[in-house]
Amino acid sequence: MRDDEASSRTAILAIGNTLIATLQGSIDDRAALALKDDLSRRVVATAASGVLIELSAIDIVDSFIGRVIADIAAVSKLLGARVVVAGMRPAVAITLVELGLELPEVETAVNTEQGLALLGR
Amino acid sequence: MVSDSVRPLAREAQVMPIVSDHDVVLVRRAARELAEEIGIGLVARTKLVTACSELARNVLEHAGGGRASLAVVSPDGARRHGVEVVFADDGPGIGDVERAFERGYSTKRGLGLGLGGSRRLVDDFALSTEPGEGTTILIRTWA
Amino acid sequence: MPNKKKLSARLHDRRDAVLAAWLKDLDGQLDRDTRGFRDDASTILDLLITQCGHAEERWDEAADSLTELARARVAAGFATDETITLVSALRSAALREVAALDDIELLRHLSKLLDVFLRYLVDAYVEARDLVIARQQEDLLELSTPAVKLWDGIVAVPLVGTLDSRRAVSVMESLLNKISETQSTIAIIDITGVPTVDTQVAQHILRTVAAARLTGARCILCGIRPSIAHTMVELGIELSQVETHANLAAAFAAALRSRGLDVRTSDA
Repeated sequence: MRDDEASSRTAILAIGNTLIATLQGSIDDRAALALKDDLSRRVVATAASGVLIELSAIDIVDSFIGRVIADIAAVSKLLGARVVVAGMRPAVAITLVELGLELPEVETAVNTEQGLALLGR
Repeated sequence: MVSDSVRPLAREAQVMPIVSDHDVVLVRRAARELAEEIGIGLVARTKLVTACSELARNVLEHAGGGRASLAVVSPDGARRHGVEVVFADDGPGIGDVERAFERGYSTKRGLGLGLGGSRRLVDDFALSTEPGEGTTILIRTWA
Repeated sequence: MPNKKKLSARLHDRRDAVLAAWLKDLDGQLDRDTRGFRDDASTILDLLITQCGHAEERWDEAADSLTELARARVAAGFATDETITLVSALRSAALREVAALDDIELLRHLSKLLDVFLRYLVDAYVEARDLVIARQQEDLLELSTPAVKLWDGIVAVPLVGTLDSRRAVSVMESLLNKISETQSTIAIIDITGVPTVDTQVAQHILRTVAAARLTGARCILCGIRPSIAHTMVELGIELSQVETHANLAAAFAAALRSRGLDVRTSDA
């Protein structure tokens, strides 16, 4: 695990070819954008083939965070990595669909274990 | 005797400035606390908090800032309670309100899900705006 | 109006007599023990007396109190006709006392006041009962949309009856919570019991599928009746991105297969 530059930065863990980012608490816009940059840099640096975004500790995802996640998926794909979103809570999923954000471009898993299985670990 | 008028409870409305990203988080948190206090269920609460996030960000992006005022309200003569949040700004206002609700429509960055999306997330939604006169949006979710 | 004071004074003086006459009347008409009602009756009567004394029409306070009292009646299981009996008994008891004064203006005034007062009481009763009905509907809603776990990693929700917006939301919540609770990867939605699928119902189903996918589960749809399939095609309802099977058994078998499981007859 790498050192965080700021406390609001999301830690990114590398396991084999997979990067795992666990989002926590009330993530603000800047932290979300920082995660997007950090992840793409790390995908290139580690030649990762998969990115797992773990959301089970997140109790709201608004359209901004939703778009950041979609962007991460699109960018990672260009860089040769698949993105799986794992552990999204039911209330968050219902809200996102109601909001019109179905995130068709990202793969999903019920938890980290399933997510890693999906990414072929 | 069923009245449409809704009155705030004795407690004063909480007025919060929206001038930075972090204020969006604070408004969200305040809305969540009120919703928990009056027993709004998890899904409705999540929707309300998300709508607050969308609308607070709207204020920030389209008007450069504004304020949110949060209160627990109760219709006259009824025992049910709701959380009411009013977002107000002195920005340019919205010229074409109909279009502003359309999916994918946005004058600034973002996916343009803000207004139409938020309206689907809450029980009551009211907007008043004039070009040049700023925008006020009221939302309510009932317990 | 000067006679307001007179009216209020008269009812005030004869309060106990009105109350006694009212309750006696009720005893004869209601098939229930009115003893528990004594305190409420005296509160209602006092409200009426206060109301008679007001110089202007002010109903706010009375309305709030009447709402409270009506809730108590609903909780005690009063039926609508019993409430009407209760209300008309008060009316005759009060009018009888004032009629003794032989002042037609006074009677007319009381009668008018009673009309408004009793309407408030009945409104409050109806509103309180509606509240109870709404609550019961909500309870029923939860009961009628149970998502069940069929196997490790497989849940199902059988839909029965008309899928309106409220039920659709309830189904979605119930299914997603079950998925999350059991960490399932496959969710079967069985619509055998749904009589019609219009564009709106299809939208609800598609939203449920989308939300389930976000939590990490794939939905399988089953039980589309032939007539419904025809209607769906005619309406141009597009469910092609959802895996569908003829019935629950076929859907379950497909779910087991995709979990790497196989159902066989034992060799014994």
